Amino acid sequence: MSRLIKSILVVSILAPGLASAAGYHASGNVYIVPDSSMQANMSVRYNTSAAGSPYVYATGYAGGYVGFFGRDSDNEYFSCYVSTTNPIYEAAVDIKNNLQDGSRLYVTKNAGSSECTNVFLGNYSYYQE
Amino acid sequence: MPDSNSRFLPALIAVQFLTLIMLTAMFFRLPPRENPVTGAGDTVVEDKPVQEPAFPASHLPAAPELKDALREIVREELAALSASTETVRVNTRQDKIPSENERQEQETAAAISGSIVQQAISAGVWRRTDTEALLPHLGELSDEHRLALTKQLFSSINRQELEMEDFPPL
Repeated sequence: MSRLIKSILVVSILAPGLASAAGYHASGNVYIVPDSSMQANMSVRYNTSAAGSPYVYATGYAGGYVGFFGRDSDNEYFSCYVSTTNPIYEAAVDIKNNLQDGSRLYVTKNAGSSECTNVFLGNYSYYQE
Repeated sequence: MPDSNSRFLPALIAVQFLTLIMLTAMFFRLPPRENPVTGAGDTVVEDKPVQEPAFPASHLPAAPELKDALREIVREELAALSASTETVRVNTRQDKIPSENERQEQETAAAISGSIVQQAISAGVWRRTDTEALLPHLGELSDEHRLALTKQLFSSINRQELEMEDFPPL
């Protein structure tokens, strides 16, 4: 029992110091260049300082095209899809399935077209909430 | 931006970690390490003479003949494999040929869905009511029709001609 009490004392001394330890953090956001590109964090959901109501999402029908969509703080929209015949289709499906807290999505398309030309995903510790 | 106090954190963590180790050592005194001693019943490995291989090396063909024999075996196996390989057919919706009834249902769903999307684009806003109107027909759409609707909707969105009050299920 005395050993247990000593262990509790040790934890109570160390816990406050350990709880304050944290790595670098950056708030998520959505940046859209209309008819061109979108950079977006899934963690924008938790950014209380972001103006407007920005959001980002990705969708896909089983065996069908994959779509990426977003709205930024200026209320500008971006959308593009990757069809099943697109060479990047399988990779786009993987990216769509792996969007999570800490993810940053970057999608581009040609002006006047709605088909995605590039889809990039990064997972960063500092974007996690 | 990193916390301005973060430069003291490594030192603080190191001190706390050392304190934890010292306290743990005081509480849990490990027994001294004993030299391993072989006791009764332990298995002792004795050196044994190397046995002759079951297939003596003198029975093997010369190296070039062995290579040719191996190549021939590999060719035969590959030929047998390619002859027996069957084309794997992936069962997708595109492979399924719709019946006349299903085709008519697809055409009807495409017409109604197209009308919903066109009305929203004309109004300049996608509402919750548009989503609710579209949902019942999506299951009847062919992949081509669904993609065509998506292209139409996305084009309008990317021209910033459509305000999104809800999320179209496309």
